[in-house]
Amino acid sequence: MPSHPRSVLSSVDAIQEAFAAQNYIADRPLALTTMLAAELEKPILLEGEAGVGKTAVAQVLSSVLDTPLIRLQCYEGLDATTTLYEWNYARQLLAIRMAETDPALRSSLQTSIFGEEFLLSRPLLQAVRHPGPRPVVLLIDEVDRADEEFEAFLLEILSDFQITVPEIGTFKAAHRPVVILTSNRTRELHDALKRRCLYLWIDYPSARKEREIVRRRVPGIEKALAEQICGVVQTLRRVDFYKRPGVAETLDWARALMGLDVREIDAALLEETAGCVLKYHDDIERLRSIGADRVLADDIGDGDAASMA
Amino acid sequence: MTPMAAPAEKIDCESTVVRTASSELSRRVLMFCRLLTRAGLNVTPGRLIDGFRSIPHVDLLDPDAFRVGLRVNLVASREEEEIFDRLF
Repeated sequence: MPSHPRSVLSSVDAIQEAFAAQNYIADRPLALTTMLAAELEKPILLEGEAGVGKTAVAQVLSSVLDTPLIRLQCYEGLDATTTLYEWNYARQLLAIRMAETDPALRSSLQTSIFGEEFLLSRPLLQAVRHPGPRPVVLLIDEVDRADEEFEAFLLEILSDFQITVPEIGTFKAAHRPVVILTSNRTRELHDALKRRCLYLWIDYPSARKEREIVRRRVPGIEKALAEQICGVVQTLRRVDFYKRPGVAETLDWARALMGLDVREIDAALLEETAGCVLKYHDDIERLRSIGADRVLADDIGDGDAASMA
Repeated sequence: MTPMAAPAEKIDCESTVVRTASSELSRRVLMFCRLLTRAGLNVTPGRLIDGFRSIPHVDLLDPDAFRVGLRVNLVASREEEEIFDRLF
């Protein structure tokens, strides 16, 4: 365990090495962005298709910095206030019931009913209250799924990391968290939020990079099989499926094929295991209509890649 | 940020710039940012300042690092990244 993990973020090379030690292949722009985020104390916004490894960056970073990861998963309808804290109503009611028969409890409860004992810290307050010794990594995942109101709320928090619980007081972060936001770009985020952050688009990996990822994350896989898997996935990504396979799907497929003791993929096997890489029925049908054998041979034309009007 | 605030921000960023890089470099970066604005990017004073703040942390001998170090502060989408890289 390094004594000053933050120093590992001192150079692009050091960051790439630290990430590689966690089996995450970070290219130089990502490593540089991470370094700048630490130096400038700005959040990072990682935008890209689903499954390219955006969330993983936060997980790996927390390991590299030897600090906890606090995750705020965004979703449609997310209520901003629940991301700060909630009161443990059930416990409060129980305490009140018990106090009805015990005068000593009743008087102490008057002050403690809205106190620490009944406060449930949610991710943002947890991040603010983190005592250290090092800054925590705060992951705000899939922020595009939340709404504009939440973005405005987030902007306030990200500026001063100060949260007030009216009944208790104001909490200010002793250590500014390292913040990573991710977005699958299902909608455009407001420029106000984007300019608060360092912006990086994460693309699908190149064939070479993906082979390296498979090699590291699926240890023991035959080189020829890994190459074939990556080749097929690269070809598939040229087709405008409803949902193209991400790196996560490549790894799933690789593990599945290894588990099946496969040496080489043929058309039949590709069709059978298509569910590992394509998660929508329509996409799998599309694969069938293009022809698994043609995908394997990387023999698809522009007509196959684009949907028919 | 109102337009009136812009000149003051520019002065602020000039003093940052003097600490970080040669005035020739900073002049070129400012010119490049004007180019970006003409291409449709929203280069706010805050973004500009952060761009300059990034420069001292970047290995200036590595052209890719310099490009990306500026870019992460100035763009807000994949398309803007491509415009930036093309103009750079």
